[in-house]
Amino acid sequence: MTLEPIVFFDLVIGIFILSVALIFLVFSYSKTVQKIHSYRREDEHLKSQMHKKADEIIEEARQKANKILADAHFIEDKERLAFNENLHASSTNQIKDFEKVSQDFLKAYQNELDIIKGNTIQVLKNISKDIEKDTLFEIKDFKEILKKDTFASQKIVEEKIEDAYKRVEKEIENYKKERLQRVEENIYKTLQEVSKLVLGKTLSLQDHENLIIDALNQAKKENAIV
Amino acid sequence: MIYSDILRRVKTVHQAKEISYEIDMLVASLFKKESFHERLKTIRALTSEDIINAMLENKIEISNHQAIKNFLVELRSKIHSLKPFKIYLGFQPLETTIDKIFSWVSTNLGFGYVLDIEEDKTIIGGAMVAFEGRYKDHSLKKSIERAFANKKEEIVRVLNS
Repeated sequence: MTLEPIVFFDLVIGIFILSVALIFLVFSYSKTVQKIHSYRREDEHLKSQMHKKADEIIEEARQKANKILADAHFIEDKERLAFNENLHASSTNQIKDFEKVSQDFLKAYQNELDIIKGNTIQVLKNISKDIEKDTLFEIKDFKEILKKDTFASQKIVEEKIEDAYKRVEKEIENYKKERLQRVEENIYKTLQEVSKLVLGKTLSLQDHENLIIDALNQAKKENAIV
Repeated sequence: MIYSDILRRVKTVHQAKEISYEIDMLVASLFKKESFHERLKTIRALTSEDIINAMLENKIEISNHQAIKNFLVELRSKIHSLKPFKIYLGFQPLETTIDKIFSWVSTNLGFGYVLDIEEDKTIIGGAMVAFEGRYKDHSLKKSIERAFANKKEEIVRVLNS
């Protein structure tokens, strides 16, 4: 296979252009990398500077703070001592005042308590008298009611006993009558039975036959036999 | 046929049953080896005499078994047709009492009845009669009770005095 000359030249030109472009690119890249390195170094330098400066500021601040604290302690001790003295004086005064008030209050309370106690005893005495009076009155009243009720109950009981007595008396009377009637009935029946027995035994054969014929004639008369 | 003599002798239900039984035996004997004559000897003398007399009266030959049978069957039928006259008495009646009662019944009601007598000692005396659906109590017991009922107050008064 053979290439046309024009195609060949075109290819060579193309390769050449591409090579130039590649070289340019490599060069540009190298330049950029160098710049980046330079920036990094600069940055690190700046950072170390900043650290150093910050440490100096912090140390200075710490020293200032220590000084302030030492001054503050001194003031505090002084004020505390004064405060304690004032507090002690105030407390002593307060205690004295409180003791005085307490004494007054206790005295007043004692007086009041005595008054109340006296009143209460009087009230209780009055109540006791009232109760006694009321109780005596109620007992008297109760006695009267009881007396009345007793009379009424006695009367009712008497009436009931009288009624019961009359009823029992009537029942006994009825029972007596009934028993008597029963006895009479029994005697009557016994008499009847005895009569039958005696008559039955005393009848002769002739009597029996006559009675039978009489019975037949009687039945005929009554149209039982026709 | 003439049966009047035999029928007049049947006065009670009991007698009617006895005679019926004897007639049955005689009818049965007519067709057996045992002669009718022999059989007549085994029944009550009065009955056998009555039957012979009735047969003679009706001119029935003793050798004519069929005629005898007809006679006996008819006789039994007549006995069965007798009407019962129910009467309650306070004692077991003797023959004479039965005769008197039967005589009264025959006189007042005619023939064709037999007495159906039942003993009831509680009635003491007299009689209770049940005839053709009617009932009458003319016993001595009833009379005594009636008398006591009528005189009750008087009796009680006497008892209390």
